Amino acid sequence: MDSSSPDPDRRQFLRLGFQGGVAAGGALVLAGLSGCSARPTHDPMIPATTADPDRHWRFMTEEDRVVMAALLPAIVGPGMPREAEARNSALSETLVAMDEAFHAMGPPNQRQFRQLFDLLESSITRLTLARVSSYWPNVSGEQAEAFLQRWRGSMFNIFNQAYLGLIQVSNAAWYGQPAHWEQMGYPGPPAYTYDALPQMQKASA
Amino acid sequence: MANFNLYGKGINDGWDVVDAALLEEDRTLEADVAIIGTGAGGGTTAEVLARAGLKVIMVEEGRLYHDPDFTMDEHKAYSRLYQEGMTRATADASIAILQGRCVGGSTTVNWTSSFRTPEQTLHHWQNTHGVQDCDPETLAPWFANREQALNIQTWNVDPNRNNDILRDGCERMGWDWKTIPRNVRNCWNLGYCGMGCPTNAKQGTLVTSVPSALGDGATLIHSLRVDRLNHQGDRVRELRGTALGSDGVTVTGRRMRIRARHFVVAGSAIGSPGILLRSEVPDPYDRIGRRTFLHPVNATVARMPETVEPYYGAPQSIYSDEFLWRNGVTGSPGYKLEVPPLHPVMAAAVLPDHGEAMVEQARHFPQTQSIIALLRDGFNSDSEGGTVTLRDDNSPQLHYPISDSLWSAFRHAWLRMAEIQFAAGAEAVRPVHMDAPYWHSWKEAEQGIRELPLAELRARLFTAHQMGGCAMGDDPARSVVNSWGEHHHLSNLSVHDASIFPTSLGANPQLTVYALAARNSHRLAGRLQSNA
Repeated sequence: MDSSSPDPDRRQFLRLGFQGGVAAGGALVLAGLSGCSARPTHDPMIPATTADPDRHWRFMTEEDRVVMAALLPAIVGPGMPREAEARNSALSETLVAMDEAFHAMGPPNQRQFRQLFDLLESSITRLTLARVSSYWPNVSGEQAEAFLQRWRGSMFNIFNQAYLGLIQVSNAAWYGQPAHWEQMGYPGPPAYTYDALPQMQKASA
Repeated sequence: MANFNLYGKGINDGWDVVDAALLEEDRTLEADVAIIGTGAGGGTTAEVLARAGLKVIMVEEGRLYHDPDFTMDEHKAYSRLYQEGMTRATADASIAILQGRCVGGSTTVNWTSSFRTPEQTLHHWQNTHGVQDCDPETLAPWFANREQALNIQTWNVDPNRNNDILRDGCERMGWDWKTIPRNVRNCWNLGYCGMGCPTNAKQGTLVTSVPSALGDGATLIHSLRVDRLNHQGDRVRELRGTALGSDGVTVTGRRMRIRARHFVVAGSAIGSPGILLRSEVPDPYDRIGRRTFLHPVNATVARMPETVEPYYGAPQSIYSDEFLWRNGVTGSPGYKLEVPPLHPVMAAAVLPDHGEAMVEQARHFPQTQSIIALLRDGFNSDSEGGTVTLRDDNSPQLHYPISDSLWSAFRHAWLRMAEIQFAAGAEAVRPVHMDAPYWHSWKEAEQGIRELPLAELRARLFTAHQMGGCAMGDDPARSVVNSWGEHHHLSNLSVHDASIFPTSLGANPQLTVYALAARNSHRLAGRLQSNA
């Protein structure tokens, strides 16, 4: 490893992205010629929960939320409610928790996640590196699962790292919500502390 | 009864606590000593120097959170109290770094294990790294001094089941185990040390040294990031800092300057080299940020037939040093065995799975037990540690290549941890590794672990102990500070944290940091008083 480089991860990511684009042959050139922007064009049928315009999103863009809304059901798996309203509300709360986590990470980590989301959102790299053929709003549970497994099992460190980054933030955001503690059989802090500790009385009030 | 709202009362009584996030204009302050960092090193230094009558300013990049904020809530705790919202990692992301960033530093969030430096380590420092006056006899009074101040005692309450399984397994294997000394007073045995102690039982610097210094007239400035130390000739002239907002992330635009007779850097093994590199302090032998050590950690998880509830009770109470010195001091790395607490976010972020595989583990969470191995890095010839460099934005970053001898020790540790868990009755055991399933017998596990790929990111690795990078020693060609933490080239600069260790320790580091900081601060107080 070149330890003198200030930011080997970013270089590695860019290099891999570049090689991936070249390996995909004409796709890169065709996309360029047809004026396909690096940013995806959105399906008008974006789920309402992913585009809450009233919230001040600190890190996640609408595009990021669309990607995560497609991936979260696969990441959370059977723990995700099936009923539409409960599912939308669970997705929405999890995206908020993820946004807060991204903000707290600080700028260097945010830059890495920004690169990752850009890669997932650009049609070229979505097709060539993520190998996800549909626009994210149309990605099925099966497609999302296959994508996650590809990156998890990849022989390239950079995809393993991206997989871990996505699932760690998602899992932490999901299981950190008291509503989902029961999915881990976790009862929460000992019941008596809610009476015995002044700050817990305030927190539960 | 716990003494609640320590800081609320103290501030009412006149403690000088400045939240830099609230500054409305730039400020310049003066003191006898400016101390950067309020963890084990900086907090202890502030206590000693303020007690000696010196005017002390403590500067902390993190924010002040205290018992009213400690509600045993993982999200709040991890995003507020840890470096990079608990997502700090080595440059190639292969080792996750758990490190505090708040008033009290890592002592606010650690699991209270308090060991004296192993004698083998101290002898090694003296014999191989040219450190003076660090033999066990010389340091014994300083360990005793801090043990008394921080109420460090062997934990005399029954271990929780999570720790008990390590004891049971070792007992059945005929291997060493002992009870851990903890820095607590009237501990409620809740299990939430890692989220900030909700009862002020943990005797970290947040509730001991920092309040003591404040009571003696010191100033605490939090939410202030030190950009650089300006120096001229052989002296540091002033510290320049940038205020961070109440989110701990956003730069407010306000700045501070602090002029002082002496400067003490205690910003951790990643932060302190970062400050010295940004400040471009003299470094003729390119030693700053070199030889940074981590006690790299690997883990196994076990599914037990009984309820373990790894989230309740003192998080660490049993350890085993059976394999710590297994190949001698400088042979291939040995390791200490301990137990980590598990709460939902921690567990969900550590297990490298999603979907069905994650749900299956979540379902068995109350029956889950885990053991960790802390590798003793920096003693053998192929364990040179890592290097701290600056990113484009001047923030510090650690590059830590994993050497062959460390990989081999990881495999050895997975084997022994799985063996202990099966001996204690585990139904299934899995190394925390992307390619490891749960195995249902020791025989299966033994075969499986021998075949696991030893590769970055496939193995999930961690560190809670960052050490080195500003090594002490008498030879300026091999070290940054002398044996008492005094910088070799700048006469009014000292380093008082774990960054001065020439190797890792082979034990949780807080008591070593406390003891060395106490000793070196008494010496510094003498120096400053004699030429006042």
